Amino acid sequence: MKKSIWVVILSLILVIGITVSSATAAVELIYTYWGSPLERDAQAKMCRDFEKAYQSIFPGIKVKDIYIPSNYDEKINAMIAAGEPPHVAQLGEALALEWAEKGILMDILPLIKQDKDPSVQIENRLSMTWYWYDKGKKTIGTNLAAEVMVLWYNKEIFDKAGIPYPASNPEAWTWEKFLDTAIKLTTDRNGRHPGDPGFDPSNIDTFGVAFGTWWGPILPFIWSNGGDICDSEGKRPLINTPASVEAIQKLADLMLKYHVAPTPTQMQAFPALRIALQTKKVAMYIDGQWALLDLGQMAKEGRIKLGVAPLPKLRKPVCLELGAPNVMFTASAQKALKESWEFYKWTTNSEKVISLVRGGLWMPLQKWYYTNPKYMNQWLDPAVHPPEYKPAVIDYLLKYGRRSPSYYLRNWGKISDIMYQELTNVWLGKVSAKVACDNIADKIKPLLVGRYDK
Amino acid sequence: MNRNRSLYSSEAKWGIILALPAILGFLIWTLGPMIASFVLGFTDWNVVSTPHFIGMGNFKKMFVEDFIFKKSIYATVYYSLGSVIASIVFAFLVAFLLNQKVKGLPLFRTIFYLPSITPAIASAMLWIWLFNPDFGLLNQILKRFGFPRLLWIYDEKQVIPSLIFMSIWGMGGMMVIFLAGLQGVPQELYEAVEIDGGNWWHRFRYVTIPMMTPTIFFNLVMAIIGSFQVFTSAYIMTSGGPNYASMFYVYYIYLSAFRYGQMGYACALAIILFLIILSFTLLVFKSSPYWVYYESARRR
Repeated sequence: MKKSIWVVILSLILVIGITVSSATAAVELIYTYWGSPLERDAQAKMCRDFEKAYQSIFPGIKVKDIYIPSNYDEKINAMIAAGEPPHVAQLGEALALEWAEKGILMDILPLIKQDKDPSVQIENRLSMTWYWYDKGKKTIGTNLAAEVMVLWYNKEIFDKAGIPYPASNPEAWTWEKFLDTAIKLTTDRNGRHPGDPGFDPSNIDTFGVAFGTWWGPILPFIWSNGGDICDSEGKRPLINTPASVEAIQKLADLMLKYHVAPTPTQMQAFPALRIALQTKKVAMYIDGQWALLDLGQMAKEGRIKLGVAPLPKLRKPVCLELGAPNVMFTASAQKALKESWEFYKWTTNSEKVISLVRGGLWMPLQKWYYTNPKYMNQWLDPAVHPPEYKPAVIDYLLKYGRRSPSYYLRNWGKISDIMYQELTNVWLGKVSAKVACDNIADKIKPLLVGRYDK
Repeated sequence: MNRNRSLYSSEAKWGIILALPAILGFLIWTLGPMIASFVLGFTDWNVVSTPHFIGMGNFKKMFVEDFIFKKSIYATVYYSLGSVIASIVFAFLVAFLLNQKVKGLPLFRTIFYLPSITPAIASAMLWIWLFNPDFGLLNQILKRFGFPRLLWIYDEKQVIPSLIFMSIWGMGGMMVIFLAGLQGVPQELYEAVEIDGGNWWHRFRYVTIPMMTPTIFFNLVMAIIGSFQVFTSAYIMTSGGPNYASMFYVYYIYLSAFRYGQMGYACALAIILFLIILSFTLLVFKSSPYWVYYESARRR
């Protein structure tokens, strides 16, 4: 008897609960993204802000923000296979355009044309950040934010050694000056520099420079030297041309010949590079602009005297612009098109995420942030962004920016993997850059089947 | 009689009902996906769009165009042969030693077994450090004795031997099985050898080894199956490198499926792996009458 009463009560609660929740069930958008823990907090806040701002237009709207710190593509694959992809998502460049062609991702060009919002108009965003496909007739949108590869440095190390900071002007910051600076800043346990008699390359206290060996830090140097991975059609490999080979060899020489940069195996003993910079294990390091989120935080707390410079030029300055797109998934977004579109615009409207921009993680997408001083001040935080940030990063991007092949080249994921694997042997001094590049050229030939946008 | 039958049938009914979770689990989570992946191996499925049947297309691509496929077969077979032989020999020897009456036996048994219960990721992280050419313990030891520095997992030629070396470390499970087998060898056989004037070698060669062949056989089959499915060391330690030298087969399946989104191709790769493991296992089974000795079975 008692039992049956409980059953009745419980089912009543259940029924009421379901009715109440379905009555108030407004649209719930799913948004997925990756990033550091600091990034997670900021993106979650962006979602909450959207919910608040749009409560009157879409009553009860909710954004379920799913943070996926690792194995991102696999989880998205699984969500699609389960028939419930996110509405809006950050997505790896390697998959994005392939999926766009198959209709998994939405072509948002028609939506842009109907919309008057200036923040989303094609001409108002950095032109480099658009992902075009179907011969340039369709777009999945832009990056979540603009990003470039730059050179971060610790000013204290320069001050102590009495060496001038790297030039902020990309034309003046040459490879020779860079190499000379790196040699002077590299010190072994006895305070000797490379080239000094008795210099001990196996016991280096401070490295002049450090860089990862994925394509981000490598590609701008290949371009700067007049080389490339393939021709502009995306059909013929150019990675084994003398200009490309020379650039890669010069990077390898930093590790193996001059001992001013740690090899990948030495890097294993390193903490995260930003910590290595702060603790003076390295004087300069090449990384994305996004590193400013953590570096800027340290600068703000007075734990590092941070500096930033463009990458040194080999023949001509080049700034690599890269990023990951924010996209709308057709299957989900079609069911709640208005809500998804407003949310999509929100995520890529730098004004709405100004805290992330001001914090250093992202660079804005809208052009006025780069040209109009009023907007620039909203963005640049003197406590976070080093004083030379404008010439070294902003002007560098505007004047010498070139978008990465991830925006247009087919099979980019595989091509970049092959490059990474083959080049490992170069960084370890097993083969010359020439040999590795010839191998790469052979292997990527069948994968070079053109571009998405042409 | 009648009552008995109904008892049996009710027992059978309940037996099946109670085993149903396991049976259903097998059908839904193992057999079903196996059949599905077999079918998908003949399609161009990429998760996001509908699969199209492309016949032998995936296999043609594999054997004709795909250089990574060849490298991964080579790496996996090389690793399997090395790690199976090395860990069986080593596990057997350690088990043999731990079967002797020495002081502190439980301690030694624990020490040798411990690595096999260490989480794979944790031990991979540990070995990354041991293998580090600049700071690693292994190179420090080599240096102390005047040997040249090795690059270990960072060298195309050394990476597989290094990972085989590492796999020996995890042979604890195998060792325990050998130990159990050794303790099952009847004492009277050893006594018989002694009475006939045999020494330790005769005891080892004519009693221990033959009596252990069923255990060796079991460990061999399990080790072959396990070693072909090696994944963690490539995933955590080498990313399949340097230059694809440790692109283990299962890791390549994983990359094809989830990184490159070619699920159909990955399924085709899995079919080939299934055939490889099957043929190796059959080979071992077929060869077993010639070298495995069962006390209860009659010799052919």
